[in-house]
Amino acid sequence: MTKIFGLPVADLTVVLTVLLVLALAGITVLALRNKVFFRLGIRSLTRRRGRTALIVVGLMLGTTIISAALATGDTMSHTIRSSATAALGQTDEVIGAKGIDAALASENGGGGSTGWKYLPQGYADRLARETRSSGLIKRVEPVIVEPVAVWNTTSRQSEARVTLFSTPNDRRLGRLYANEVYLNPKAADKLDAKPGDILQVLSGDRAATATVRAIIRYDGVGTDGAAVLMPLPAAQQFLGKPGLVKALFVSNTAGVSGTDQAMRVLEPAAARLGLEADNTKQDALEQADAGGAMFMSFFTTFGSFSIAAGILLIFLIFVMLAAERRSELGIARAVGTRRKHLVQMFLYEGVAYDLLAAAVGVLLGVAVSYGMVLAMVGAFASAEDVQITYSVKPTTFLLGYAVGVLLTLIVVAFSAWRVSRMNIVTAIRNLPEPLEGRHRRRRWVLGALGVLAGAALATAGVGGEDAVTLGLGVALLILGLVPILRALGVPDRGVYTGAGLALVAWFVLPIGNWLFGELKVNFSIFILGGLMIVVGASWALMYNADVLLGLLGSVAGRSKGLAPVLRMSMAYPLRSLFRTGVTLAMFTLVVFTLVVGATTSGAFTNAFNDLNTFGGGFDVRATTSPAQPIVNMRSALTQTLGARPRDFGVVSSESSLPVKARQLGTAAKEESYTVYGADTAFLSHTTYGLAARAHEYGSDAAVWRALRTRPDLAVVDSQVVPRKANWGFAMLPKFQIHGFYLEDRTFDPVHVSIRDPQTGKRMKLTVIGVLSDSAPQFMYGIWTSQRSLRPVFGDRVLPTIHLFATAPGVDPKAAARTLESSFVGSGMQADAHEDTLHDLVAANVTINRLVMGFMGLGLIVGVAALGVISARAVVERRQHIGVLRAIGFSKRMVQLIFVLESSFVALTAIAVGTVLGLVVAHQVISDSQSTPSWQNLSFDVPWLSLGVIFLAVYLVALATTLLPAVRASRIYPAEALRYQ
Amino acid sequence: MTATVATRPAREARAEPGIAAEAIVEARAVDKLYDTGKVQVHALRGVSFSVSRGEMVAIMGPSGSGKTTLLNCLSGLDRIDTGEVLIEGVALSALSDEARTDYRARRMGFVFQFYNLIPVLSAVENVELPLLVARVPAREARRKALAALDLVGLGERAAHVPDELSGGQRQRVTIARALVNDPAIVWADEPTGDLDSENAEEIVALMRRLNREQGLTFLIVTHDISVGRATDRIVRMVDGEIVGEERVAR
Repeated sequence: MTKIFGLPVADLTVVLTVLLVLALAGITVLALRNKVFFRLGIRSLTRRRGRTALIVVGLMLGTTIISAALATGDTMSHTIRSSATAALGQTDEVIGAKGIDAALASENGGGGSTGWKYLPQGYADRLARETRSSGLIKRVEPVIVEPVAVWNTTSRQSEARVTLFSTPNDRRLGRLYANEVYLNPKAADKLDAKPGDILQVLSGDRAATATVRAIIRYDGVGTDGAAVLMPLPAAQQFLGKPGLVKALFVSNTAGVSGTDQAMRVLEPAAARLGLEADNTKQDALEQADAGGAMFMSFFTTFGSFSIAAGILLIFLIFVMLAAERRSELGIARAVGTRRKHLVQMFLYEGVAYDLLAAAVGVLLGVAVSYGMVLAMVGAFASAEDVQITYSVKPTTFLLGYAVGVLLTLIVVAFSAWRVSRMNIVTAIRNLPEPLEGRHRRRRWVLGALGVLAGAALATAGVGGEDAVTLGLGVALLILGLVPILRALGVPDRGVYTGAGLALVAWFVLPIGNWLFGELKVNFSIFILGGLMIVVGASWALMYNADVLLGLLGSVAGRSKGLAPVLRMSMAYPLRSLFRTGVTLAMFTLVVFTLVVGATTSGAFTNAFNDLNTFGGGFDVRATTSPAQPIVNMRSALTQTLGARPRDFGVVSSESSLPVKARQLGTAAKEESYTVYGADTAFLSHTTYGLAARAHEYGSDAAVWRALRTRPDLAVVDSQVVPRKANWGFAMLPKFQIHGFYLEDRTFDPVHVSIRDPQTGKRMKLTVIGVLSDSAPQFMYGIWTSQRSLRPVFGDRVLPTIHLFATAPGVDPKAAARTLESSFVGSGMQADAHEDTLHDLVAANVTINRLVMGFMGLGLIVGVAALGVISARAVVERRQHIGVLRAIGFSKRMVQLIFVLESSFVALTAIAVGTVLGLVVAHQVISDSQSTPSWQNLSFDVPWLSLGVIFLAVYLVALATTLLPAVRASRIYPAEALRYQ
Repeated sequence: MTATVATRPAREARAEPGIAAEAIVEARAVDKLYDTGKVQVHALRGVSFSVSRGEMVAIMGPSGSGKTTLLNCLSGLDRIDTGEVLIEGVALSALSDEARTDYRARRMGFVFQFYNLIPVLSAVENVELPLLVARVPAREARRKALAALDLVGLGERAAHVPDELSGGQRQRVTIARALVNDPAIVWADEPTGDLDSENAEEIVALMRRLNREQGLTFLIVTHDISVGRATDRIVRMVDGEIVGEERVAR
């Protein structure tokens, strides 16, 4: 991973570490200059060890979440990097026929292009000689890397797609006899092979028999999958390419770090031979880092609510610490302690907790990420070639620690400053802070700033048709009005209720769209909206809690046994609006996000889990080796032994060609992408839906019909079209077309140019349709008719992909197995869509659960908050407990007071978070239903999973509360009364 | 208020059969030891003592003499190590914690030096709390609480929270809370300790009035001789022992 949130990780780590060191150095100097205050500050750590532990737990959660996201990103980056390193070994660049970069960039499950040019083996020496003087190139290896099918006659296991690798200069390959091969462990595993087994290596009509000499580990065979290694002359003879190789693998003296310099030497040298050089490893590693960053960004984004809840918890903890010591601090001020000394004392204490908590948080985050990686291993289990390996960089520890410490330090410093502004008299007497003139001024200033900034942002949002900017502006405007109205003397209940409801209304209802038309949105609106909805709901609730609790009390209070307990359990939360509100907001925030996340992701997964949508009218998809294409599949079915042509109602074939594509009439440059040529059978039969169509086409079928009947028309996938609502995290292809949004549904036809880099031939296509979002990933590309491609690109576009619609009563899974065994020589891999979809949905469900689990970490924050509040309440109310016990409250009644208090917060948060979450989820699903891609979405609430989660959390929250409550109730009344 | 004090030995008082026969509270050879691990404090040493129904008794003595400990032990707020405490003829040790708590709710009232009102409840809510605990219906509890506040002259301050009341007013609320459930006895620990002389006098007069008019039994722990003089009897304690008793003559 090189970047997070668009910032370079290395630079960010350095900057944050320097800031951390400077902050800690400053605090150390202050402590050394005034050791008394330092000792006073940190003495609380050892005075109440239990509470210190609870505070550390509370403070560490934010760091845990950040570190877990970073470590997960590291692991995914490492996994993809490992895959690239295993495939390329020492190879840094690859030289081959022109177009090799497009070919390498277009591997998305297609069958690959046919007619790939081989090059003379002697070019390797020539290139090595030409580049030797630069001192940059260590080795140039001629290689054959070709997919073949292999059948182990000993174990009777076959594998349709194994990479055949050959190179002349390897010592180990040099030891092989002509009829011997090595297998790598993956191939041995798939073929159930051991040394001495006899293999049949197949490539179309060609077959060779070879004995397995040994199973060896060998990095750099061009794949991290199964490979068979053969002496070069034997491979050339087997493939019918005497004296030729497929590519040249180049290693740099300085490794991949020398790629930029090496490319400056290699490119002209390759061009002189009519070849092209590609910085393959550098690209692969960059892709790996981008992939890692995507995962990290995915988890930090979904974890941002939990991080926000964690920050609130830190604030709450220090506000409560300050409240607990208010009288003590007031006395300290009265006897001459300065404000700055109070700030310092709090900082010393806070930093001590902070340093400890962040260290524990980082370690816990790494442990959490390990659990997440284990879950992902399970999710990707169906993808045999993905091997996730856990890896965390040292910089991640440092970055996580620095972020955790600094974040807490900022909150602690603010809390300390807030504490120091106390009124000495009211602090000593523990009375509410009076509203002073300077507070009124501050309210006016803050309010005015909020309103101005809000108005400016809202205006910019309307101008830019951007819902996020507009939403932020409206939120600031509403938040800015709050202090102004309070300064004007409007009662708090009215101000906060009004502002709260306004925030909820703006972010729940599509008011922006009603007023200003459809606006651009991205994932940030979910975070901003979620936060504002929860803040608004918490305000509206807390400032009307007396009414709500009054109603509750009048109903439940009829039970004589419950009446005094209810009276007490409602009275304290109502008098501590701030702490109750913050805890409620924390809990509600997490519940809200879980409900929205679980409901919407479940709806999208269910909608995606539609075989008709996924298959587009077909049941089986098969790909063959580009080296051995099957040009006429219908005829091959009738002619091949074992194949059963009657199993299939429709047989279609498609070609795939990596091209350089660009939109005409724009300044866009050529980018690598894949063009698919579909035959008439596909274009007649397909039911794949479209998200947008060119104006003149009235239906999706009309678009497919036009592709079938008229040349040079195309359909593209939805990834290459800009959209107003950008919810995704996926890395988009560099090739993009502009001029309309996906949400427009109709557009003027767009012209694109495609060029085959190997032959240099090009053609123009007119895009008249955009595939729906629900189309499977193997449909990503530019789709046109084979009839259009063939005259221009000839043998480069022979079909390598075949889609089959099975006849009634035929099992697609069995049909796929029959196809694979019938066309093993062509390296056919066939899968029933049902199986592919099942694996994809299973992986999706696991990832969704993982994200839910990650978001659910915030629930621990909520539980910890309730624990902190209960522990604090027991200390704070010890004397009151004595009084209650004296006037007749039993132990159980005292315990019940605390349990009901926590229940009030937890259950209200669960109820409010669920209701708000369902409203927002319903909104999201309704919006999506109106788009062509997701018309089959349905609003199904996963009540069972949500119910189980919330019940578990509620019970844990009660347990956290019950412990201090039981302790409190056991104190003898006289002892409690003595407590000051 | 005028009163004279007649002194007689404590042992003599305990032996008087008439008092023992009408005793609402009786302590027999009560011992109480505080052990902090580092220090042991013998707070009560073989204290024997009784209070008659309708009597108003003051316990006086220097700080640390065990006055508050005695009150706590007699009222069941604290445990005793040895000896016996009888309330209305029932040994406290024979009652479970639950039963003791229930007895406190129905038959006792408490007044503390620092009022110990629940700050998050209004005056009337504080006063009605013991009634709710005793399962009195809410409406009746409210009616009785308001009546109790009227009785102590605070009817108009019923909706105020303790922070909004003066020290004297808070102590009146505490007294109202103590008497709202028609207790057999009211325990008052330094009820005037946090008040100025004027307020202290008013509170003492109030308690005296309630004692006379309603026959409430009061056991008051105090430093203040003027409070002691307002009661029927003064019991003196030093170092955890009762060293003398004085009948207050009027």
